[in-house]
Amino acid sequence: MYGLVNKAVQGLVIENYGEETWDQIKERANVDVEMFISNESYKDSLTYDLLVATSEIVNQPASELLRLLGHYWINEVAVQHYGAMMDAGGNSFVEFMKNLPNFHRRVAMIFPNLEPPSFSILKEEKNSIHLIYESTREGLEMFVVGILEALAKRHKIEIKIDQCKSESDQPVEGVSQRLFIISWEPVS
Amino acid sequence: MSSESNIPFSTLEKLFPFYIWINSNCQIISVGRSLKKLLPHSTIGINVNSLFMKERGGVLPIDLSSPDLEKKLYLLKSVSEDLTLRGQLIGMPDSSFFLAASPWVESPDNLIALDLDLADFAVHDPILDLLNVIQSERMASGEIKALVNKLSQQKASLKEANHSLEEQNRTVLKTQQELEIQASEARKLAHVASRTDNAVIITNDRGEIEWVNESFEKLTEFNLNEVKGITPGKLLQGPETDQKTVKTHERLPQKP
Repeated sequence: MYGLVNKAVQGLVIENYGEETWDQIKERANVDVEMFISNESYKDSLTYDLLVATSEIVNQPASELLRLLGHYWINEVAVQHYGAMMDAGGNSFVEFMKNLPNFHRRVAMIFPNLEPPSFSILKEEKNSIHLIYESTREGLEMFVVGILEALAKRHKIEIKIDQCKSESDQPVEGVSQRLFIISWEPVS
Repeated sequence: MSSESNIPFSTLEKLFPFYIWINSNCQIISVGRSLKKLLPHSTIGINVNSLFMKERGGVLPIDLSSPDLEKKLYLLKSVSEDLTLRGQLIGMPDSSFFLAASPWVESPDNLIALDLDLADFAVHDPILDLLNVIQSERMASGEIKALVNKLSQQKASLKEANHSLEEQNRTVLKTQQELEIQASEARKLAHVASRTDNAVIITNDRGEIEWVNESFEKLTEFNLNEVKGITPGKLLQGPETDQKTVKTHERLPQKP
């Protein structure tokens, strides 16, 4: 994963638990990196090790940690680094989700080692969408949930997410798939 | 008629939503849906050269008789808005001209300033990719700045630590000099004590002999090894010693 993800983990930990805890986490995860470079590609295992160590040290379930990381990703990382692009990305949550695949494709052109997740809207209704999430990485569904929640909040709606695994529940050709049924109350 | 000339105008508009279509007198026939957002006042019939001024290195007025008309990169700066269009002019079969243009944006912030969003651009428009490159460069340059700051802080801390070490070093040197002076004084005293004709005894705090000088050895005929650890009283008092003198000596105040 690119350094930006590891920086997000670092930012989330430091913001909530302080620098000392972050140093402990790095030590526990055997990560000897003084500063992550956003545009540099790091091994996925490094990110997973950091997440496991964080979960153990701050005593928080990994799923909740990933969800908070999703919120942090949108509210801090994306806004700070892609602020204007986020605003230009669509006037509504659904509009933004429709533009997201193109955005990921464009970013992937710049970062050759990037393997972004894929999102596609399977069904669209007035107050709900069925979103297919595909990724070569496993176990990050709660990160996506956090991202979707924060994105929805940015567009002034509160969403409810139901997750359905794909029929086989096994990655096909290294890609795992998940269906998110996202619904929200009509905006008054 | 060739198939190319049959492309519906709506298709061209999808590909170039910021287009400007002009007649052979440079008068605007129509503009694309996204450009309408940027130039909301009715522009139909207006001479295109009156809407734009020359951008640095730009080409104005648009001279439709120029032989290399289609080879130029047009940079058109809006007279009224903070907007520069970049594009290419092509002749149409009916002698009109089509400027396939796109706004030149140097930063994603320009999009917000122009009230544009991604849907206003054609999907193929490389301007959006350029924005991502710019964004990524900004991120990298921000990190370089953060790294430089961190290095400066570390340098300042090292300087401070170095200063403190130098201070400690000075103190150690001073103490060493003082000790050398004391040692030299002690050596002088020791020299005096060993060379004097008087008998000199040095005892520890329990009154036991630690050192005697040569005069002591000559006078008492005891050498240092024989008397070391013995109190002078025990050594020098015998049966004929005057007990009155001993008592007087014991009453004398002891040197701390």
